Amino acid sequence: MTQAGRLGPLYGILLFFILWQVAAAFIGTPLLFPEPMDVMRGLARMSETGEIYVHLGATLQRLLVGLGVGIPVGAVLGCAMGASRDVNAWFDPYLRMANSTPAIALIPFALLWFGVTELARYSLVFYLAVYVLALSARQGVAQVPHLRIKAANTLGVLGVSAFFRVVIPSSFPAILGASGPQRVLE
Amino acid sequence: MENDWKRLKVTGLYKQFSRGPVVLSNIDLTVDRGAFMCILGPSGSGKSTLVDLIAGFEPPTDGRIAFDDSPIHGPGPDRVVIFQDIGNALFPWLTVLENAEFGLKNFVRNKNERRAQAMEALELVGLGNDTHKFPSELSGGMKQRAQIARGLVMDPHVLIMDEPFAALDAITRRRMQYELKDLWERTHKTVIFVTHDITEALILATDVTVLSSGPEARILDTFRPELPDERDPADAEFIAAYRHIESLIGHVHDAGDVRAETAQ
Ligand SMILES: Nc1ncnc2c1ncn2[C@@H]1O[C@H](COP(=O)(O)OP(=O)(O)O)[C@@H](O)[C@H]1O
Ligand SMILES: [Mg+2]
Repeated sequence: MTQAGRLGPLYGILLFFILWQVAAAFIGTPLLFPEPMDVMRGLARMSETGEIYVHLGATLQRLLVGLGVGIPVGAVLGCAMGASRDVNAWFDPYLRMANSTPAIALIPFALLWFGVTELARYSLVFYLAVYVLALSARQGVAQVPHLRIKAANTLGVLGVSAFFRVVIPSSFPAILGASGPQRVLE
Repeated sequence: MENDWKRLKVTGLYKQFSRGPVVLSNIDLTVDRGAFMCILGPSGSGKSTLVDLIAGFEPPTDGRIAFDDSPIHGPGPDRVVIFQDIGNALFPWLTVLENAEFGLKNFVRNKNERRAQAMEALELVGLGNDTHKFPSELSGGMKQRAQIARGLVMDPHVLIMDEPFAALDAITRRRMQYELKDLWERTHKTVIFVTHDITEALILATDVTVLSSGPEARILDTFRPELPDERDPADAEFIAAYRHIESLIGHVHDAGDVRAETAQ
């Protein structure tokens, strides 16, 4: 393997701006496809007036609220689904539906049901967080080596106690390392 | 659980997994308190299944397992199992000390008392200086010592060991065998030790039970090898006992071959 070098990522970014510039020149309609420098100027102006921080703050708030509620709900749901066949049978159809429905396809529904409100936005982030966390938590719980549960049982740690002291810590890396959070932030 | 038990008795034990073949057939076994019982059998004969039944992980299809006259119910710290799988038996997110304390949490309220008991067990197995390490930092032999300490600390009636040294290299394995023998001589804990290694069984055992190969594994022989306390695989008596076991197991292989041939 050759060394990528520390500047590798910079070249990638540079290439991106060059392509952007070329594409903008080619399309030639700034309203639809502004040049990179126009966008930079716009950013600078909005930072000066402070306007950008208002928008950033709003976006951040949506993420925090949506994720803050969605992650725990999804994690608990997924752990319960991993631990119990019944619970899994109840909710598995919804996870399958969610998994085959891109969140973008739900935006019109969220707007229809909740109007152009913060609630519509929260609910979308919430939805994404719940299903992604549920998927990874279920997987994490199901993948706990059975031997660890036997080890806990033979030491007198059974049932719910074994679930919290062995199954949850065992699946923690899988839950935290969920391919999920990244997808939610996209 | 009664504390003045005299023997663990397995009577008329059968095990068949749902719609599978019968794994264990009519197993009778008596383990006296203080004994070191080795259960010998070829791979796949059903040794781990027998351990799972005695440990209470699996219910028997038929038969009975009891301390004197009180039957066992499910898994519990009176019958702690030491597992072969050195990679998964310890809890990797806990230190050696925390692993050793794991089972005590339900029984010993006082934290310092727990710590003291766990330390004592770890020192007994020679891990007194490695208590802060995580399992991933231990060698295979140390992992098994940690597992033994985690079991000993529960002060079980019986320590059940399922091929605990099978995953270790030959030199470490032999060292662990003599360490375990030494540990048993100091504690006189009742041990049920499962192995497919005849030499290992004869180094350790006060009692030997030989299982036939499966399916429908049954007990071929149970005996007390008449060997000196210091076991030496080069001794004439040792070799004679070795031959005896080999002939038992070999005999079954022959019978199986004959059956297979006549069936064709
Ligand atoms: N949970 C199970 N379900 C079905 N068959 C099993 C199960 N556990 C073990 N067996 C079967 O029982 C037999 C004995 O296995 P095992 O007890 O692991 O043997 P050993 O420990 O002597 O190598 C094997 O044929 C195995 O396939
Ligand atoms: Mg086995």
